[in-house]
Amino acid sequence: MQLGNTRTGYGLVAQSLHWIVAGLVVYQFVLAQRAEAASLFQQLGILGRHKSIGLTIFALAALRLAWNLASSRPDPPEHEPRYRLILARATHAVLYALIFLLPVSGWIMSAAANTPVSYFGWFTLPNPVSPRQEWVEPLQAVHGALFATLTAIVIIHSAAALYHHFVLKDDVLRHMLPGLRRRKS
Amino acid sequence: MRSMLLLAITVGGAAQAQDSAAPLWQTGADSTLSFIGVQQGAELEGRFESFDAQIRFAPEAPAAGRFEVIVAIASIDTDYDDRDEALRGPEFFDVERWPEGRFVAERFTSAGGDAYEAEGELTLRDRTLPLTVPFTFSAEGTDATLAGEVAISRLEFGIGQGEWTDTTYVGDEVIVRFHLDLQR
Repeated sequence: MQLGNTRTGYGLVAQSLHWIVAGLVVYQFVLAQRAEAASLFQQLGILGRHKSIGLTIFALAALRLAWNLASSRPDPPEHEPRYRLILARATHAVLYALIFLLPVSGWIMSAAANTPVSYFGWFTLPNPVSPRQEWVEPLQAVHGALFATLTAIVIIHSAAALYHHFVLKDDVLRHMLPGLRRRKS
Repeated sequence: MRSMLLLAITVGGAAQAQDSAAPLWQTGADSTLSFIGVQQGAELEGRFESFDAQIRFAPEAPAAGRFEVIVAIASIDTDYDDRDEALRGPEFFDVERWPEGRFVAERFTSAGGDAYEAEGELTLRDRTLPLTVPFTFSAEGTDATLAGEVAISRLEFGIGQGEWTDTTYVGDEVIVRFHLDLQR
């Protein structure tokens, strides 16, 4: 498997970044759920990790965006209707936007609550805003709404991939899977 | 009437005599008492909005000084109500039982220049422990600035009970910072 993308599939770098970010996003949801049920003490640990992973996701998504912009993308299936190409483009754009906005909204929320974000204890992020408690609850709502939107988009994204794979029987899902033989070369 | 007046003059004179050894300074409204702790690996800053500082000090005669600072613990402010509420609660300061913190110092030594050290006792919750506080004192006419910082261990004072004795998420060391604008 190649590092870079080819016309018939994403390379190792793009695939790794895609699935690592996907896994981390799921883990973020698990951590957020756990925090809600936890004691205040445990919350500090869980949310500390949630913030560090959020920053990791931001960095990996930025890396992936740069990688994809620098390399070509696999060819879409032949005869793919134009509206579906546009829909796919739009879905991916919104996905990226949400993956960037979620950590940013969390970062601003933390700063508003005068809780600077430490990256796994290695370094501390600067505060993007000075403490302003009245922003915390609205930002929490925004963070939650962004995640709800992300969930909806991920469902559409996954459904589209499965539709291509099982109904249209083309290679779109395989572009993002390692080691699977292409139906067409 | 005359004896009353005489008494007043005498008392006034006595107070003045003490003033010259170590005057009592009025603490200005811009004075601050803040602290920096570590939460989730990042520095967290907060302050006590309400405290009363009785500062008697003369740079030329530090030994005659006396500090008594009483802090209204409930006035703690870390810019986030949920956290402040937790800090006031039984697991941290327990302000219902111990509403005041207190620092009293009666031994002072010069550390060169405008630097001094106050040896005293700090009381937080139900624990009183010796504490030496380095500070600078610079006077200009009737104004003076008293500033410094000192590190304390929150756990030595029992601030953080139960699971909070674990310092993984909230560090033990807290830097206490003070900046007093004084006038006489």
